[in-house]
Formats: sequence, C-alpha cells, structure tokens
Amino acid sequence: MNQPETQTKEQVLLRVEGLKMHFPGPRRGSFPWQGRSTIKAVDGVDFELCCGQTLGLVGESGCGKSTLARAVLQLYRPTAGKVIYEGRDLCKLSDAQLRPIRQHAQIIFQDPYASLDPRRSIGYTIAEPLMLAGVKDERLRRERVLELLRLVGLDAIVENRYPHEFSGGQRQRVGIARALVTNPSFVICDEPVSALDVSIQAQVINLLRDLQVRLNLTYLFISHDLRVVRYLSDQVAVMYLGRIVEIAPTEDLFGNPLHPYTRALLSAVPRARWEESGITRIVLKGEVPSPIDPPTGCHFAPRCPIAEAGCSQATPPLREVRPGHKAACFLA
Amino acid sequence: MKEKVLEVRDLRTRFFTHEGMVAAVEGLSLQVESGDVVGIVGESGCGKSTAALSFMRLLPPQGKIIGGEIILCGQDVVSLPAEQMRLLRGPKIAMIFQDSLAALDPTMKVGDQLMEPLQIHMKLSRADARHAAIELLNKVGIPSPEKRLDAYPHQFSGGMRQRVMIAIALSCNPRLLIADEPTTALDVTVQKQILDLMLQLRDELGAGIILITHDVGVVSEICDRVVVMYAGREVESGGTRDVFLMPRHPYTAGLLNSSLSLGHDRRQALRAIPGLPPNLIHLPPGCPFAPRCPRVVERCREEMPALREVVLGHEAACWNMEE
Repeated sequence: MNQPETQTKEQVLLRVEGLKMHFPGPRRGSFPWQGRSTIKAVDGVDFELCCGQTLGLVGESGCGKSTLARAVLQLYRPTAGKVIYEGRDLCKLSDAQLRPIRQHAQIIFQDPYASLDPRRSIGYTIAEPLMLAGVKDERLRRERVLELLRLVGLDAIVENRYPHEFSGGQRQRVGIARALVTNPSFVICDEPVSALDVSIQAQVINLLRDLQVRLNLTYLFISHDLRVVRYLSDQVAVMYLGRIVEIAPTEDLFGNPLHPYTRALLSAVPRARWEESGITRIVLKGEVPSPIDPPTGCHFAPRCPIAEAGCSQATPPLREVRPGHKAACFLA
Repeated sequence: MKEKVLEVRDLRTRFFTHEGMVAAVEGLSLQVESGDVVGIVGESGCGKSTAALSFMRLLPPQGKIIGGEIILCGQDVVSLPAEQMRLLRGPKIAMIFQDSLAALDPTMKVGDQLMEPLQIHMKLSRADARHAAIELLNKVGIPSPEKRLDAYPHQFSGGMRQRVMIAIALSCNPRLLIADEPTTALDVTVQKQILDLMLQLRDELGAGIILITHDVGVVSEICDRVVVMYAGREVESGGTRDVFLMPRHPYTAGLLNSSLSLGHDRRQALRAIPGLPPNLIHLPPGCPFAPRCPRVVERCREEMPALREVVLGHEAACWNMEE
C-alpha cells in the first residue's frame, strides 16, 4: 500500500468528500410538467477513516446511514462527491475497475435472514466471493472456507448445511465469514447485531472486536444503538437527515456532546432509575421529517429545543469547535 | 388504595406442533397491582409473549393452557367461556403489540377501529364514540385528531401507529395493560416518548402494566418489579433494583453482563453467555440453563430447581445461587 498520505502517523484508508446520494422521489403533482421531487438521502458528507480504526455511524431510521454505506462501496453510484480509498477515487472507476477493490472492501448486512441465499449451502455462500475474485482451484477455496468457519467460531460440519438450519446469531457469523473470505482490509458493518438477541449480540460484538485486532480491520460500524456504537468505535459520527451533524472521538462525543440532536439522542438511551446520570433529559417532540423536501436551513431546527430564528435561514457548516471535535450547529 | 388486578399462579402453557409438544410456559407466577409496572424480560422464544397471550386468552389454536390459574380482577379466566372472556378484553385487560402495522386492520379507518370497542363495551352511540375517539387520540399526543380519525393505518408513521394502538387499548379504561415489546421497532427518541406516555397514562388511569421486552435497559428505567424468563420458566423475580444490582440466577447475571450500557468500560470485553438457548421440544432434564451455565453443578443436570425466596420478595430458581 503506497499512498501519498504516509507522512501522517495513522494512514488514512478512506476519505469521503462532499458525498451526495439523491434519488428521484414521488411526482410533485399529476401533471408531467410538475416534475419529480428529489429524495436527498445523503446530502454532503465528509469524513476520514484511518487504518485499523472504527468509525461509528449513528442516527435514527431514515437518516441515510445505510445509503451512505452503499454509496461508499459504489453499490449505488453517488450523485456527487468523492470516495477516496487507498488514494483512488472510487466514483470515477468503472465496474470492471472496481471489482478487484471490492475484495478489499466488504459489507456485513443487518438481516441475517435476508442476506443469505436459502438455496445455497453455507460453504458455497462463503466461497462465492472467492470464485468472483478468480480463485479457480476448488481445493484452495474449500481450505479457505474451513479456515473462515473456524475463525468465526462455527463448526466445519456446517459447510454443507443450509441457512434455514441456523439461528440468527449463527447466520450472522456466516455473513461475517463471507465478508472476510477475500481478506479485506475495510469492512462496513450495517447494523450487524440489531436483529440478534442480547446474549447472542454480545457474542457477535466480541467476535467483531476480536477479528478487528487479529486481522487489522478497519470498520465503518453503522447502528442506531448508541450503546453498541460507543463500545466499538474510536470515532463517532451522528447523522440527521442525510448530513453529519457531529463527529468526534468517542470519549469526547459521549462525554461532551455539542450538538443538541446528539444530546437528545444520548438522553433518550434507556438507563436505570437508580443511576445518577447527570444528563438532563431532553425529550424531542415529533419524529424525523421526510428527506423529500427537508426543512430549509438546519434540518434539525424544527425539533430543536434551543433553535433560534437564524437556524432555519442558513445551513450551519460542520466546523471544528474543539480540536478533533466537529459539530454543525450555530449555537455549539 | 391498591387493588390486585392480576394474579397468575403456576401457569403452564403448551403448544402442540407436528414436531412435538412445546413447553412454552412452565410454572409462571406473578402479581400485578394497580399502578404497578411489572417487566417480563428474556430472549426470543423464552415464552414471554406466550405468557401474555395466555393472560389475554388469545393463544393460537395449537396453544393450550394446561394448568395454573389466571385471576383477573378477582375472576379466574382460564376456563372462562370465550363469550365471557370477550367481555373482559377491553374494560379489564388490553394489549399493545410490537408490530403496529400487523396489529391494526389495514382496510379500516383508524377512527372506526378506535370507535369499535367504545360502541361495543361502553355502549356509546356512534356520535359519542367519535367524540371519545378524538379525545383519546388527543390524549396519546396525535396532532389534529379530528382529521386523523379518517386516515388509514398506513398513512401513519411507526411511532404514531403505536400511539393509535395505545389509544385503542386504553379506550375502555382497562385495569391491566399488557405491552409486548411496544418500542422495539421504534427509534430511541420515539421509544422515549412512548414509554413516557405509558407511564403518564398509568398515573392518570391507575391501571397496572405488564411490559414485555428483551431490553434490560428499558426494564431498569420504568419497571417496579421484574420477572426473568428462560426456556419457558421463570428463573428469577423481584424488585427491579434488587434483581439487577444483585442478580442471584446466573442467567440474569449473564443477561446483564451481555447488555451494554452507556457506562460500560470500553476496554473490557463483554462477558457473553456462551452457546444458544435450548430447543423447547427436546428439553434436557434438570435446569434448562445448565448447558450454558458457568456455575453448573452435578445436580443441575438431573433435577429442576424450584423457585425459592432469597430475600423478601426476591426469588430465584438455582441450585448454586450467588449469595
């Protein structure tokens, strides 16, 4: 890996600049000249991710976390912006040029039931990325599959079984094995534990952490659960309606949240009545507005407990309020 | 003055399936007084929802209560004829389900679904029921309720649908409200709103609440007492604070250790429970948690431990309890 960024202590693996992902929305009216609205699922996102680190991405459903993940991997072609991975802008590459890069950048999906092909054996499912990567030797593929099964804590016997024979936690292990089979350096985890029971969730979280250390993986970890994100991430970005509203090292973000939305999210996390939290409760009114024609200015202004008149006029930029701690709020 | 709204003694519910008999609930006992919030916590398949459906007498055809008593407001409902049970659902006992889109009728206006119990149980005229429905929607925090009455469930967001379901459940002032994972499908900020709403309504109506969830964080936040279930059995119960700060059963301890909180030390690995929950059709003899238990002793594999009181009001079923 020879990159121009080698002068910094930690190598930047991924840099995203001004990423936008817009989709055509519903028609504005029944006449053809009224045109379509635009769904701005991701609307100008910037971040950097260093080798071996984890960036946590939190936000409520519909805020664009999963779309962002897919746009980074070019599963959707972004509307605008750059995704610089190991020094190359992925947005400019053709599908054929992307193929070798896909071996290094993989994704683990949320739903362990929908993301495995019910008609393919576990062994085939895990080996498929290797076939796509051009590993023609069947023995070699099988060896690698067995190695991966061991790595994720599954028995070698399961190779010939089918997804319906497995529980959610085991399926998620299969999903992890499939993502890691091509030996990637970057893995996007899209809500990998949200569908799992608590005791199984803990097993998978431990596995993900353990694999990161052993294989020096870089994670983009997406979740709506702040407790999980806090536990796994070095850095955390909070998204609201397609934009990052706050990004900071984990300790700073949780210890000293600057954006009112982050504060509201934190105060909504369930906690025991007998624990003194020191956090004042902020209960937000209403729900996340639709990303079709979002509010002008700061997207959060209509729900914000401290909003002022100026907030709905202009969009606050994501600015460095303290070293390494950025927030997009005029009042932070 | 507190009244006992529900008392369950040694409930046993079975499912008769093609693969065999499933002991879905095996010896559950609990008590709910008016104004209480009691949590039932456990992982999927532990029998918590089956227990709730047993209380409601809404088990699917293959499910059957084979033993125990369910005393709802002084009346044993286990063998009550279906017609009479129907009269109790609404004014005495009501339920909120997890999946609001599946629980509401998609072809019926929200207003009609709300008015139906009012017309049947409270014997209101259509016009009066409509007024009462508007008031209910207002109470659960739905903006411009007069207009929303004529909307269909798909026109509401998840959080708003959950509010509609709460409004329907509360329409006949039930003495007991069962909430089965009411916030699992919702975002945290909306979850907070719904939990607060439930507590506020409990204070207004003085009903008892049973909250079924897998999230120990939610239980620790709003429940006065908690019942922990594993493989259809009650393994521990008591005051939430006692149980969570001093868990006696190794499964409760494991569940708490597996659950992240905002205070968890990030450098420390999670102490997960190894293995998987057992298959309820082929339960091994003895304690069902024994194969995964860190404190297992010989006796655990042979004999099922009975619940015994550790301190007043705090029970656990374990041969080798944490003291």
